[in-house]
Amino acid sequence: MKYILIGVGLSVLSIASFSFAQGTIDGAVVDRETQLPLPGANVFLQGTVIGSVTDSDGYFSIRNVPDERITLVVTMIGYARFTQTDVHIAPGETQSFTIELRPTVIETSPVVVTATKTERSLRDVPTSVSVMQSREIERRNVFSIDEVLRNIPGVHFNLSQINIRGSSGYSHGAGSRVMLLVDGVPLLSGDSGEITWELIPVDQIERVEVVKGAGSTLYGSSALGGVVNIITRDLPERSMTAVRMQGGVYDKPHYSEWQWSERSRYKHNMHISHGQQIGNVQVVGSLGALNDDSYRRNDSRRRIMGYLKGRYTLSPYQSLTVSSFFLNQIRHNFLYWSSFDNPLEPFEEQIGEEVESFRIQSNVQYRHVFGSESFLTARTSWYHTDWEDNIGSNGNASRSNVFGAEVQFNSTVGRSHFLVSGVDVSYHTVDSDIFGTRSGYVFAAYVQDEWNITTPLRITGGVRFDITRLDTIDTFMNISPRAGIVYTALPHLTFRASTGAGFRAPAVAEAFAMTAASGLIVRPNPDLDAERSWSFEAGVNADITNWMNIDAAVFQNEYSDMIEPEARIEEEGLTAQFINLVRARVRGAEAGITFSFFDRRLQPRVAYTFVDGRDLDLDEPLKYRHKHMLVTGMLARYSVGWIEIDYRYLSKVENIDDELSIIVDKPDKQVPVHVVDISAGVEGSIGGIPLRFSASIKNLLQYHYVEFVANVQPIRQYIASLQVMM
Amino acid sequence: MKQQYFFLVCIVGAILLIVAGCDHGLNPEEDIFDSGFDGTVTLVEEWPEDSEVRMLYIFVFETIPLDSADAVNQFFQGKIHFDELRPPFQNEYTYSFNIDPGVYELVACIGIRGDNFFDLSTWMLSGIFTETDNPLEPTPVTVSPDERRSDVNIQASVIHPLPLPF
Repeated sequence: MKYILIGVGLSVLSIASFSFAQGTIDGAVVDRETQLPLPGANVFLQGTVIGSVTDSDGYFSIRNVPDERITLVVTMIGYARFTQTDVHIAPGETQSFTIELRPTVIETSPVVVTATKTERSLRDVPTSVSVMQSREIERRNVFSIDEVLRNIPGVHFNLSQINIRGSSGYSHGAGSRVMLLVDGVPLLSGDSGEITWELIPVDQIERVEVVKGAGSTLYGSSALGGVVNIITRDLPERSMTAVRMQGGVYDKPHYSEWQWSERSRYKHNMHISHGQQIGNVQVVGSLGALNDDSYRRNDSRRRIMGYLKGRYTLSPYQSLTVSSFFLNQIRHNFLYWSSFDNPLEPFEEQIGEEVESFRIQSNVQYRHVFGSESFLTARTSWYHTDWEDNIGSNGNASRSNVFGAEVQFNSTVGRSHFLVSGVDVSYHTVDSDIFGTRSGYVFAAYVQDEWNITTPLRITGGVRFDITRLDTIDTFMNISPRAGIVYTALPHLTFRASTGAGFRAPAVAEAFAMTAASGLIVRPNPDLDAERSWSFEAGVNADITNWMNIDAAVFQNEYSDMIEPEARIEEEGLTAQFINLVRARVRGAEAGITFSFFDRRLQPRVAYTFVDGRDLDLDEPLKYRHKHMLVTGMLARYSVGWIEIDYRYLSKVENIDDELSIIVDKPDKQVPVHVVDISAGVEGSIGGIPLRFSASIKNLLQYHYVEFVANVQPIRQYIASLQVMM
Repeated sequence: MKQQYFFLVCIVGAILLIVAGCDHGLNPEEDIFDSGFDGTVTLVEEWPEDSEVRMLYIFVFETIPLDSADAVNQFFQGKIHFDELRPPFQNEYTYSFNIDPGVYELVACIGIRGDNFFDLSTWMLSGIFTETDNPLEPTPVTVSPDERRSDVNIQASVIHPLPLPF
């Protein structure tokens, strides 16, 4: 062991002392037609870890270019990929390029990484994936990333719980059937297994990828309903500081009898970020604070967020990236409305109840590139959550830690096989009043082969083996296979199909929660088993003309041993316990059309999702699912200004927990959802300082609806934001 | 270009139609019941503040439960309706109960000892609505869609409860 450690130490030292007496590439990226600079373009050297993103002037600089023939690649959404081969920069030399990108009339196939754990064009993956770029997020003036995910086809929320194509009902804050990743690192808490969307730094997001359907073959437990991967921005080459201020005010409710506050209710947010390169180290950090009065009584929140990311380029082929982000939040507790007469006020006894939480996620990623398609990624991560509340006579508290490590190796085998393999381990601890003192681990190994049989035909097959231990519960062993096929019939016509297994081990909260709140006694169930799914999907993507693209899919998911809460009346009162209960089937179809009119100045879009979810044991609709979902909108751009309108429709849910009527007034008060948001903005500069200003009206129609029983969603808000970059 | 204009007009038209057709969603006025009944609950003895009975409810049963298990079943089936009499420790309450038209076999005033509503062992029958001389014989209440009764009065006691019929 001693010699191994010495060997590793010497290797690290030799890498760290690697001297870059190498060349530099710099220049600008512009639109070929308008010659305007293009900020946000990705510029990188193929087969290395070296790359950059253009700044607000379209400028980039890449140092430490190796002394060999390289390929320079530039990509940007809405433009054709630029490739220049045989570039050679001698050591100490600087070569400048002005790269003109050719606009594509309609952009339908961005590069995604989540579906196959490697970079692939959207059209080349066998499952449905939706992508939302940073510009789309910025335009919508959001305070938390879950606000924009509601505009992705097939996605809806039950409060903070995401639901992709009907995969999830409402699990009362315990467990998630969707895996959330940030740069490929899982972000589910160790105790309740839930997602905290506010933790994710919105101003640092490059794009969001949403994979629909079981993803357990690559991501294990919790990915049975889909995967959301937040990709953060690449690190800047030049010193850059940005300040973003957002402010908003809630309108009064449409019905005067629902008004409970005499004063206006505000929310505001401020973020400062700074990034720069020091030698071989690129760093970006941001700090933000938010205050939200809320439109409901006892629902306000205050939070402080921080983000730090740094990358050390060890050599042209090796990099070490460290990132960390935290959230400190105090929020009041609004559980249900007190009555339908006062739907914006909670029960009187809940007034003053609040939860204070601290969450931090840190990870280290090492990447070694061996060629254009072969690389090794090793990552370790730590996610810590700590919260306490003053609910009940003594309050509650919970602390959890999730330690994770993964080694992933992507390699080409022969000329037509591309292998992704890896080992993924994690260990978690929980110390909680409600869940007890618990621990558990996951050990998993996976392999996936992508086989290019012929140029238009690509087959993917993979399997993952998971061993999961959750404290005193028997060890779960699970095998999750998957197969997919992509057939490119014509350059603009692609067919896809995939089938695969998914599973989810119970969260600590589901197995061990023991508490009483609002008249409900929650009992533990240490006999819980993992829930499992099998999913199938077939789809097509086609450019009908050069200004219209269609993507359509049909899907069917079979679930067994679904973990659902069951309510009972016992001697002590109303009790609830998570049990393996339901055999369910979710099937449906999704179709989306994207248009691009008048040289991309006008971009309408519409997508419809039909979901038929049934409980096969009870022969009734699954709870908290919408059968019909429609998202549509239009972006119009002219010169430096833009305006965008979004409309979202969800049909009324067909089934809810009837037992809630015992503790909640009129839980059946549901309506179809009609939400219209409108935003407008301009980009420009004053005195050479780039500025972005935008204003939004959220819920323009002042439409009152619930996402979950007895919880009215945000009423109309007026929001403005200003971003200054220096 | 003509096709682009055609699609654009269709999309904009569809969005405008949708927006124009939207109301404001949840509506408190829809919740106004015309049917139901009103009455008073009069406590024959004073309800002392140190009483172990902490809450009083009006309960309306579509059918009288056979036993406690039947009561639980009816509860989950939505056949038992209730409303709290507030504030506690008063000697008389005027109540108004909104409910769908129908015949209700039992209208009762039930007290809860302690603060756990769902613990059936803490329930005690304080009084029932009867138009007979027998305080244990309930009189069914008929709720019609076009007429609202206002005389469903109950004599109740938190000190001398009646036997629960289930």
